[in-house]
Amino acid sequence: MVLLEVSNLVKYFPVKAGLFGKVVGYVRAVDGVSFMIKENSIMGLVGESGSGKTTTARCILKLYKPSSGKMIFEGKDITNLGRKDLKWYRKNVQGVFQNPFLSLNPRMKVESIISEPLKTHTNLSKAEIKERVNELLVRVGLPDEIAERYPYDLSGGQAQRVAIARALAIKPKLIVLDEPTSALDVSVQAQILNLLADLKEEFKLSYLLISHDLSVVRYITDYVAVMYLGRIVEYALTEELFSNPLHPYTQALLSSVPEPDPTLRKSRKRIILPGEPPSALNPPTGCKLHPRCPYVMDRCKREEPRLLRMEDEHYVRCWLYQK
Amino acid sequence: MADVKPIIDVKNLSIDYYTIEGVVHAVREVSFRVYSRESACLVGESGSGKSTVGLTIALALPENARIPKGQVLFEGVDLTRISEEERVKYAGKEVSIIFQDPSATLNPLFTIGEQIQDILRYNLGIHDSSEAMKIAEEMLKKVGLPDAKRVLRSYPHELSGGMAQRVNIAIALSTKPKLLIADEPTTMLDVTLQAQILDLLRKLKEELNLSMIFITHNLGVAAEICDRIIVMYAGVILEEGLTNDVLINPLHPYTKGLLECVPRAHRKVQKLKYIPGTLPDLRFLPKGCVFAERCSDVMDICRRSPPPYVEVTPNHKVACYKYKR
Repeated sequence: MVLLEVSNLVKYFPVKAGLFGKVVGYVRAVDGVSFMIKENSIMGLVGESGSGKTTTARCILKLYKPSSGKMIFEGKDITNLGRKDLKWYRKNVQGVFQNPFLSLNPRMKVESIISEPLKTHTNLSKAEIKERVNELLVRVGLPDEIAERYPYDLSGGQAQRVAIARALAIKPKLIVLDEPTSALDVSVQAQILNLLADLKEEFKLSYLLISHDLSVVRYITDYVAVMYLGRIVEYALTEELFSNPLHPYTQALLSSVPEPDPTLRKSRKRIILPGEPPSALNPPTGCKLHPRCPYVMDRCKREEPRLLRMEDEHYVRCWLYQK
Repeated sequence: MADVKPIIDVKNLSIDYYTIEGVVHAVREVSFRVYSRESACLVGESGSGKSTVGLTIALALPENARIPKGQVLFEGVDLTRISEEERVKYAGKEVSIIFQDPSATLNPLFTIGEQIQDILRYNLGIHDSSEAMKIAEEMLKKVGLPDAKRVLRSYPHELSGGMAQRVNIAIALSTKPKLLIADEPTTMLDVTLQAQILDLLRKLKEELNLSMIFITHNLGVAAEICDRIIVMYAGVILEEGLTNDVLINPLHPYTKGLLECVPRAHRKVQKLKYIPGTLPDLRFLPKGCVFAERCSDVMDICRRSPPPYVEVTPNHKVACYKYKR
C-alpha cells in the first residue's frame, strides 16, 4: 500500500533585491519531483548540497509550503491543510534532523521533550505519560536516569536517540530522517542505524531517509531516488541502483565514495565530475548535468530528458537511454 | 618508504588541556615518524587526539595546552622547545596546515589576493605586490582554479566550499613547505568535490615533493590518499602500519571494529556491527588499556596495565595484549 504520494512537487524561493524587495529571480530548489513511499519501507533521497533533498523533506514535513504540486498521504490530499487536519498529519508524520542539539529544546529536560508530543496528541494521564517516556527511553537504548538530564549533558549519540524517542512517542506511520547520522562518529552511527532498522520492523514504520552518504543509503533503504539540482535523475530499488547505476551522475557519485577495501577499490571505475553543481538560481538549459557530464551530446544542451522507465522499477532521466 | 630519513619524529609526546573542569590528558606518550615524501594518516574518532597531534606539529596549539613530556623533531629540531623567533621559521612556512572548514580559515574582510600577499610578505619577505600577485596567481592555477585573476579579487563569501578549500591549499603551499598537515580537509565537502580535492592533494604531493600528515575519521579517505595509517583512540596510538596491511589485516580489536561498523557503498552489508560504549573521560585515565571497557576480547590483564606496543610483522605495530612480542 502506498503511504505517501508526491507528484510534481515544486518549491521556488524568491530572491529579493533593492529597497522595495523586488523579486529578481527564483531559486529552483525543488523542480518537479514525484515519488511514492510504500507502507513499512524505507525510501532514500540522495544528492549533494543544493540538490533539493532537504527542501523536499521540509515540504513533506509541512515546514515549507510547496509552490505547486500535490502530496497525498493515506489517500488524503495534504497539500493544503487546515489546523485540525494538520494536527492529524503531524501525529502520523514526524521528523528527526541532523543536529540533535539544535532540534532539542535546550531548556527542557529529556522527560519533557519526549512527553511533549504525548501531551499534544493523546489524552494520557501524567502517570501514563511518565510510564510511556520510560518505555521509550528503554526502547531507544537509553538508561532511565537520562530523563532528568538536559540536552547539553548528553553525547551526540544519546541526543539523537532522544530525538528518535520523541518522534516515536505518538506512533507515527512515517518518519522523515534528514541526515540523522551525519553529525555522529562512525561507531555511534552504526548503533543508530541498527536502532532505526529495528524500530522500523517493530512498529511497522516507513522512513524517508535524506542523506548525502551513499553507504548509509545502501545499508538501510529499500529504494532510492537520486537528486540533482531539484530533479530526480534516477530512481530504483536500492540493490538495483547500486549494482547497475545508469545515470552518469549516479555513476560518478558512486565512484567518488572512498572505499577502504583495497581489492574493491581496484575494481572500481573512477569517474570524476569536473567543476561544481551550478546555481539553482540559474540552472543550465537542457539536462542539468550537461556542463559536467562526460557523455554530453548536442541534444543534452537543448532538451531535458524525461524520467524514463527502463525495467521494472528502474527510472532514469538521461538521453543515453532514450531515442 | 619513499626515503629513510624521517621528516617528523614524534617521541613520547603528551599534551594536556587545562580547562575549568580539570586537566584533560588529550594525548599521552605518542611516538611515530613520518618519512620524507610520505603521506601518513592519523585515523580516529572524535576525542582520539588526532587533531591535537596535528596542531602540535603545526605549532598551532591553543593557549590552554601544555606539553608535559616528549619531543616533536622536525628534521632534528625539537619544535616543542623552540623560541618565538625560531617559531616563525617553521609555523606556516616549513610546516603548513589546512583545516576542515575552508571558509572559517579565510578572513571575510579581505580579498583572497590580499590574504595571499600577506602570507608571502610575512613568511617569504616578498614586499613587491605585483610579484606577490604573480606568485598568488600561479598558485591558484596550480590548485585547479583556472579563473585565478577573478578569484584573487574575490572575497571568501563569493567562493563555494570546494573553491575555498582550493584557495586554502594554495595559501598553505605558497610558502613552499616541506610538510603539509591536512586536518579533515574534505569532511565538509560533497563526495564529488571530495574526490576532486583528494586527487589534487595527491598530484601536488608528487609535484612539490611534499610530506603529508592527513587527519581523518574516514577509513575510506585514508585508503585513498595515504601510504601508512596510524590509528588513534582516546589519546594513544593503537595500531600503525602500511595502509593495505592495516585495512586487509587489522590487528587491534578497535581497528577491526571500526572497519566493521562502517556501512559500504560498494558492497552489501547485512547487519552492521558496532562498538558498544563510549570514549573514556580523559580527565580520569583508566589504569589499563584505554579500549578495555569497549573491547570484545578483553582479558584480566587489559584492565591492570596498558599493553606494550609491539611489532607483529615488519612495520605493522599494535598495542594489544593479544599479540606477544
